Amino acid sequence: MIFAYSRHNLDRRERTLQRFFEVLPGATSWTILLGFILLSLWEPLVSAALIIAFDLYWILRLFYMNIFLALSYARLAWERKTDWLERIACTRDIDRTLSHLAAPAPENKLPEVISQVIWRRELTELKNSRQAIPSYDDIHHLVIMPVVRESRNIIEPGIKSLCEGKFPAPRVLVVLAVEERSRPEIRDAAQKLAAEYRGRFLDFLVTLHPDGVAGEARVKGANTTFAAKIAGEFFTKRNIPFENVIVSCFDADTVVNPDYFNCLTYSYIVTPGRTQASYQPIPVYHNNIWEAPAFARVLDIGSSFFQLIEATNPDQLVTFSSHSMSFRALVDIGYWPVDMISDDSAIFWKSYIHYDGRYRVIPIATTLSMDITEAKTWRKTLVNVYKQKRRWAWGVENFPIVMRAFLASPTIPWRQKLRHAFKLFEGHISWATWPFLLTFIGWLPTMLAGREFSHTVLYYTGPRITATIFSLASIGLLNCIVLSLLLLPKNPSKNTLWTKIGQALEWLLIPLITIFLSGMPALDAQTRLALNKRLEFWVTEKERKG
Amino acid sequence: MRGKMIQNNVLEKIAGRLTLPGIRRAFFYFFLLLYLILCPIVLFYAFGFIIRPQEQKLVQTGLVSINTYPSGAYIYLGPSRYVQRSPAILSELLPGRYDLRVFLNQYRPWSNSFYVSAGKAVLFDRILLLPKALAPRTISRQSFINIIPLESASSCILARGHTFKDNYLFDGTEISTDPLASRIFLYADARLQDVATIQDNPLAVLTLVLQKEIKYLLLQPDKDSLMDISAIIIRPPEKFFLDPDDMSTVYSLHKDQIDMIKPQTGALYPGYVEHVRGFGAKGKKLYILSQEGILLRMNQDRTGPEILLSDASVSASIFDPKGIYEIYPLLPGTFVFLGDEGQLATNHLPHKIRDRGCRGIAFDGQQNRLLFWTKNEIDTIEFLRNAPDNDLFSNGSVIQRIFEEGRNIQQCLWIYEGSHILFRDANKVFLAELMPQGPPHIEFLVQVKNNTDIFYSEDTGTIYYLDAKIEGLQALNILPKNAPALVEPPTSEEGP
Repeated sequence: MIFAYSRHNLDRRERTLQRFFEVLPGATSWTILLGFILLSLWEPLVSAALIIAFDLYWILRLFYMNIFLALSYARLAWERKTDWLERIACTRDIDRTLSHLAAPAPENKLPEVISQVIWRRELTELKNSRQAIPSYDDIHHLVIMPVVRESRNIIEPGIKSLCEGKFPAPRVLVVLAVEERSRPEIRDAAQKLAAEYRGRFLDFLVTLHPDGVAGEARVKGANTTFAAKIAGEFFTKRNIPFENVIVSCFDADTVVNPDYFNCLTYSYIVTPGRTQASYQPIPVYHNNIWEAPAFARVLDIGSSFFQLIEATNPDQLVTFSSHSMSFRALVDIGYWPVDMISDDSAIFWKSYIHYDGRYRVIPIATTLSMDITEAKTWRKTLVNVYKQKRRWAWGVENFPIVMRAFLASPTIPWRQKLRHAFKLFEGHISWATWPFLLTFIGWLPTMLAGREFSHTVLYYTGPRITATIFSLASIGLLNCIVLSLLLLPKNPSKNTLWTKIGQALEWLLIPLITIFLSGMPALDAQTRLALNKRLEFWVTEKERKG
Repeated sequence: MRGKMIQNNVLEKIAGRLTLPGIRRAFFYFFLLLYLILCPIVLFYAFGFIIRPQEQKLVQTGLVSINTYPSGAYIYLGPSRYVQRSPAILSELLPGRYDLRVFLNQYRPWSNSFYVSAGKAVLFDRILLLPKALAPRTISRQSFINIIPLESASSCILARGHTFKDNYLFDGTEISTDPLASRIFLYADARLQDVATIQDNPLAVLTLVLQKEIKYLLLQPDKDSLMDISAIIIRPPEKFFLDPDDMSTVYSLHKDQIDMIKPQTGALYPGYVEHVRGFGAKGKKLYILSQEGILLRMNQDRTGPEILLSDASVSASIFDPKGIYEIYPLLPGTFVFLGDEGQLATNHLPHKIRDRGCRGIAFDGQQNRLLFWTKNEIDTIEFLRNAPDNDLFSNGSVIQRIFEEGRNIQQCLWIYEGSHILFRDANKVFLAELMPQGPPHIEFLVQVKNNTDIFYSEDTGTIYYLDAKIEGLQALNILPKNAPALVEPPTSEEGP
């Protein structure tokens, strides 16, 4: 479907629809929160009953999510030893590989058995699709790293990880997409890095995105789009088909693990309809994990956990942060939106709408690491983290555009539209309301109880039931603590038992973190969208000590 | 090896059939089903529903919450003793009447009969267990002739004689070494005639008579300040009025005029309000009942007048044509009018509470209740809000009789956050515990010297009095400072 994925240049009807859907999430969140507060004052009995029903829903959903968190983590752990290059080689003769896989080795343990089952399923699906299988040697990677004010010490580890990976660097084109408005020293550093590393890659380009281009906002998508167009010219000149190019748009601090590109290439090769898919790794924030304050660490581990859970739901997975896709698709859909802040999720929706719902996100069993937001002082870090989470929550700006597209599209099946719309809407609403409901508003009926309510059985049983539910939630928390201890890299300076206990105890900050650094930024973003007070793109400040 | 191979084949087959979306779907429906089953069960439980196995019937139960001071008392409900000791919540009680008894060694037994309704909680949240033998302490062996309590100040005046130099301040811990008169020595031989105070304002206006001359002092015990304001009171007032929220102003009534006095600046505004039949002040707002029976509210600077009652027939049915009323604005929208012959009226129906004989009032702001007493009776009024906000005279009230066999009730006050009433009937001091259902429990505490007042310190939970037989100031601790203010619901409970 041809659809302008933008909120600009709309006719009157579309503009009205756009505003309606812009107001809807914020209005719903505020209605829920204020509704509960007023209900607690006027009808505490009803409010207390609804709170119990909600708490029960929350605990069951928490358990449900914990199951998939554990499964997803297990998959990630099991695939750590996988030789992706060998698997790619095996795609040359699928029948032979499938017959080999049909007779599993007796020495295989459960992880290997499951890994092989998944492998076999992927190959079978590929075989049944009867699609041509691209050769590994033909696949090229384009890595675009937007730079605004990131210094050399932030960018260079990522560049190094690209050339030190197992995928041949001479088939990787690196583009540092620098903003024209960046300080001269940032631009110079980019040029120096290019000069230093150019020889190791297919090429190393530095693009300079002009400021103030008509129709563009000062957002990352405008910069990366400009860079992608230049990269497109580069591939055209060298007769490299876009179908064979996988583009990865990485934050400047992204460090990939050595297997990343082979794992990505394998997924690309075995995915039928590979050009109509994005490839989502698990983002982890390990670059400076031991230098960041505890609240930022817990919050970003939480974000990784959320992606791990989402990875188990590929039917409704949406791209997030650093990810990859076919360059063919990127060109077909007209690149990233140049007037939106949440380009990472917007690119999925833009592709999904462009391909009439025949676009998906493939979770890949590998990680890439980024920096936790950090500043020179603890207080500034807090402010930066808040701003970063608000920017993430600004992803709600996609909701009105997606809804308009869904209403306009005759080809996307209704069931799919409903599922995606509900998930997008519910996700943002629960992000903005749950922390308040769980930590504060849920206790209001008891706290504000008038004489009439305090003389009911519910006044006494309500808090007791809530307390029991919260005790049960500690099982979920324990699961998170254990997985976080397993997922985190070792602390280079201290790794004693006390350090580990300290790390575990950091999770007790969850109630405060969820209110101030999750619920509040999300509510802030939704309120701004509803009031038409738009966010400016704010480049997350990243500091590395030492 | 073969076994391992079979095991792996089985694993393969199971894993081969499972897909991630399939697993997700299975868990989703499982949790959905679990929620649909659990949610109504938990909600039914929360509302007190249980299944009675004998009858296979769903019944809604009630509960009783018991909190005693001191805690740890044995609880009997009917013939059964509960494993739990107080504080306790006894839940899953079938609707019906129950006899509750509470026992603690060395303390007087406590019992009450109550009715449990379905879905309702009966709260005995502030049961004060009194020792079998009360043990008053002697605070001072000096001889006193009276105690003069000061409202809202955690102090009282102890009088050793009839002249001003015989009066000492007592704050519940120590008696001041210097008499009050040491601050204004000129009035040492004056006679203390009257003390004007008001609830929620620590100020007291003392009226002294010195050789037929009347002197006025403003006492602020919490700031240890005593100020002579005689010079700015140009005519002998019939009554003083204080604003609970304004420490800088005193109002005095002279015939039908109100003078405003600013003691700190020495300013006097004679005839500040004229032709009044009633007056009160709160929150720097003046409440005036005019000679015509119109009730007005205005700012202290006389701006923004607002008519609260203009209906002459309603006014005539509430107020007597003669006399002056003190107006007490207790809450936004709730006023009490106390006439100089003890007429008591409110703006809540039935408006006129007592034609005469009301000796005093005390307000419990936490529970919107007013305590008032006459010579023989003590009652409470609970103010209801069941009329529109703009109709101030149509809200209702509930009047409850607390005590009716008094001989000469002189003092009454709320204690322990409004759960008890302490009162002095002639020379006997009683403690009345208000019950959620039925009449209050009344316990005799001590007998005091004839015609002497008592002083109760909420800070220490102690009554100070002059004993009928023993010389000196006595203290009886009925509610120690660490007594729990509220019930903490216990986390678990056991059956009988």
